[in-house]
Amino acid sequence: MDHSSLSHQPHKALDPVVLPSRWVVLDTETTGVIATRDQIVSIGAVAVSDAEIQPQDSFECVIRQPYNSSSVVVHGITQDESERRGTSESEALLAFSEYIKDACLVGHHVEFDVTILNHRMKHKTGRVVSNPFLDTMELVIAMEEAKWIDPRPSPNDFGLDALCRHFNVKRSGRHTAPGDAFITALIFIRLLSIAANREPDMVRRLIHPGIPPSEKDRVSKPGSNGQEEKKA
Amino acid sequence: MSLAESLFQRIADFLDDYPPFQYLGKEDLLRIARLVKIKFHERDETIFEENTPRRNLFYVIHNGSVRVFNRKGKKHQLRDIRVEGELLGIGHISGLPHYTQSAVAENDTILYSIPWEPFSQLLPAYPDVMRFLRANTSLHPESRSWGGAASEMLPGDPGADTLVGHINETTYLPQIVQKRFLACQTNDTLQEAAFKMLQNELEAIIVVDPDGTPKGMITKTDMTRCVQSGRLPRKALAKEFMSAPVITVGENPRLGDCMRLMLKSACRFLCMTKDGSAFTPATGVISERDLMLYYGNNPMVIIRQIGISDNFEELTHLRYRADMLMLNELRSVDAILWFSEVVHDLNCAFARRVIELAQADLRAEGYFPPDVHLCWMAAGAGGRKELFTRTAMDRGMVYKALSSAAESHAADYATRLAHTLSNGLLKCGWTPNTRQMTEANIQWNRSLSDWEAYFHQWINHTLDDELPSVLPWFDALPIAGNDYLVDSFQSVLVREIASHPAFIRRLASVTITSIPKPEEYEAFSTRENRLGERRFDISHSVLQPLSHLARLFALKEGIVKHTSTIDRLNKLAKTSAAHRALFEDAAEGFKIALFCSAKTGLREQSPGNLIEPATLTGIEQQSIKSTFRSIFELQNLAETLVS
Repeated sequence: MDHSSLSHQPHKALDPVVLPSRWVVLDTETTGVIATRDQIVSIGAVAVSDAEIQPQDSFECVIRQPYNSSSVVVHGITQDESERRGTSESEALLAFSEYIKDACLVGHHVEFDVTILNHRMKHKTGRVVSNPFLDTMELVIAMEEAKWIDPRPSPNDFGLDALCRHFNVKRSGRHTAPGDAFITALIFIRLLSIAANREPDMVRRLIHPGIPPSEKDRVSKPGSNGQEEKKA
Repeated sequence: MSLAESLFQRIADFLDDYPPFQYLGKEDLLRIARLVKIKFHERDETIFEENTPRRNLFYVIHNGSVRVFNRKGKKHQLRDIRVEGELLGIGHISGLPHYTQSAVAENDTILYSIPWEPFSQLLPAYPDVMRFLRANTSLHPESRSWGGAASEMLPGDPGADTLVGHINETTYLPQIVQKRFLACQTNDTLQEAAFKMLQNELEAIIVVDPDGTPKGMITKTDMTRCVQSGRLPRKALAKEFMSAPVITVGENPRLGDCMRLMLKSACRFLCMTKDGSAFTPATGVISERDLMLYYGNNPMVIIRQIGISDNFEELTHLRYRADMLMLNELRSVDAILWFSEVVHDLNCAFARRVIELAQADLRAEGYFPPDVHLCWMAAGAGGRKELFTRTAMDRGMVYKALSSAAESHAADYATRLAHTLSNGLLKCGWTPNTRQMTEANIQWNRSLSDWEAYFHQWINHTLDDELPSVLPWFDALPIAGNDYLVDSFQSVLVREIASHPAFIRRLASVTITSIPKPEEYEAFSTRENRLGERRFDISHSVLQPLSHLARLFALKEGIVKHTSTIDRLNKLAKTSAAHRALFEDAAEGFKIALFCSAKTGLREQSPGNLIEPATLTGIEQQSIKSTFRSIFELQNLAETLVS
């Protein structure tokens, strides 16, 4: 395994007109909502390139857990199951780092996922990923303001379920990491395609540079009504 | 750590809901799912363009819908609207290197794309998949035809153009039928005409003017009649013995039109002319014999057999044969008008024969017809020519005694005839009419003056809650007997409505009440319906509301001669410039709904009220959905009549 790409280096500056050629839409299932304290239970991700979801370029892993946390009722992965299907945390994180390469990460409230990934990675491997990332929720809000998409009927509902309802995306597989990543990808290709046909630079402006864990000590994943997105 | 297997399983689960993927084994389905890529297309975005090279992949609609069409200059000829689970760009199976149609997202759409090569490698192991794909492309590459005709046509099966005996309103006569004909001049002698016929072994000769326009026709029957009369001077002229006028048709006529003309005119020969009128030169002759030879099993043959059938058992068999034939012929929405006329002709022939048999039975029992005119009529859906199966038709009888002596016997005879007739229909498999709206119910077997009094009463005094039960009679249509009796009370109808404008207000109110609530229409689009888990009542939700609305507006405009809903709506489109598009759309929608209902009814030998949306093509589903909008708009228009 080539770990050279895992070292924290400043990310190459984005081309002002060309969007990233590869996006990785990800979701993590975790033991709680505190990024600097909780553990990752599973990671699911699928790549988008050429404005298409590429299921052949996807990633899925379960991390072995020492005990059942209260979040098991949400994601359904028991300690037994994690022992049977899972892998060690460091191995999983390194493999994920290798999988994403230099893609731009995408997710719903993705800052939480990036922070917990980096926090755990720093803890286990001493390294972090510094890939740029894009939050689908921020993209939706910006596109609503630009009137490129219809406004959501409940503007204060920021949950993935609300977006699924709004964009008529079937919600099967919710609260599994690959399932949520796929659902988010279905929403993302819609947004990306609409934005690319109008003003791609808006998407580029919403891309965050990678954040080292030291800069974000405590990032909580927001929920739509304070409940829906909670991991535990 | 691996590829996200659960994603592939999720894609496979989606595909497994739809043909042809549902025919694949689990492993192969998963293999295909692993190859899928997923792309979003914004509304009106082009997916592929006609005449461009075909990509080495095809598409499945995951979400949304896609318009498939051909470009004709600046216009688009719509071929289909595909919805979730349907395929796009599958012409590889026919070896088409270019797209033959264009596809554009009808609304925001997500497509799965699947590479063709690996998929095609599975085909030899799955004949059902092969059949499905070929059926999808056999007649109309890229598009299923309306009514799913193509999906029923498989490679190796005789196609629509080659199947001898297959007919419909769009089948054209072969040239050989049209072109063989003989002509003689009006001043030629009968002997000369006979010589020509004998020499050419033809049954008829057209008698023409020097400029070739047809003036009459001499047939073998005319010759026989001439001989039988004993008047056969050697110098008799053709014009003295010809049958005239001739029934003319245009060049390259359609079989369906020829059959109907022959049935209507009771003429076994048609003369083809350049423009279809009797004022241009004759170009051919079409004989009933020719049609029979080419299209042995057709409604015309069955109708003739009905006319000579002498028992109910045989009539039952003939009607069953007609049902089967109709089911086979009802292949496209555009055929529905022709089809409803033919079914009406069949019903009339059937009714005439049953009445003749009933009269014969009565004579055998010693009851002879008094000096009376009598007409048997259909009401409701039967009167609108929208009843295609032997389900409970609303029927009645009207009679008029022609002399005071016959007056006292007329009612008695009509009642006896009605009972014998009702029993005959039941013997022939007609469903009993549980509402008792039949000729056997004395309430609906009345003299002309009684019927006129009925209409006066209904238009002037009937309470709104009683009105719906008598509305079928506002669609009355003669089936057998003296048609003028029905015409007579219809003219009363027009007069009464004109002099009582409040009736239209009441009728509008009753019509609006009969239209289902919008929620019932939403049921059509539910996933359960589309997957065939539930049925949709197309009669209650589409056919009845539109027929009620069409009746309301037609009566308001004094249109009573047109009883069929499509005729009424088309007539209204012509007379109402402001709402022309609305009436035209409603007529189109009604045609599709009637087609779906008729097909289901004939297939299941049921009234055809409950259809399975899952069995409809994309364009049929879309058209029925757009019909809901027509209903609501007509309802809004009806509300303006109430206030």
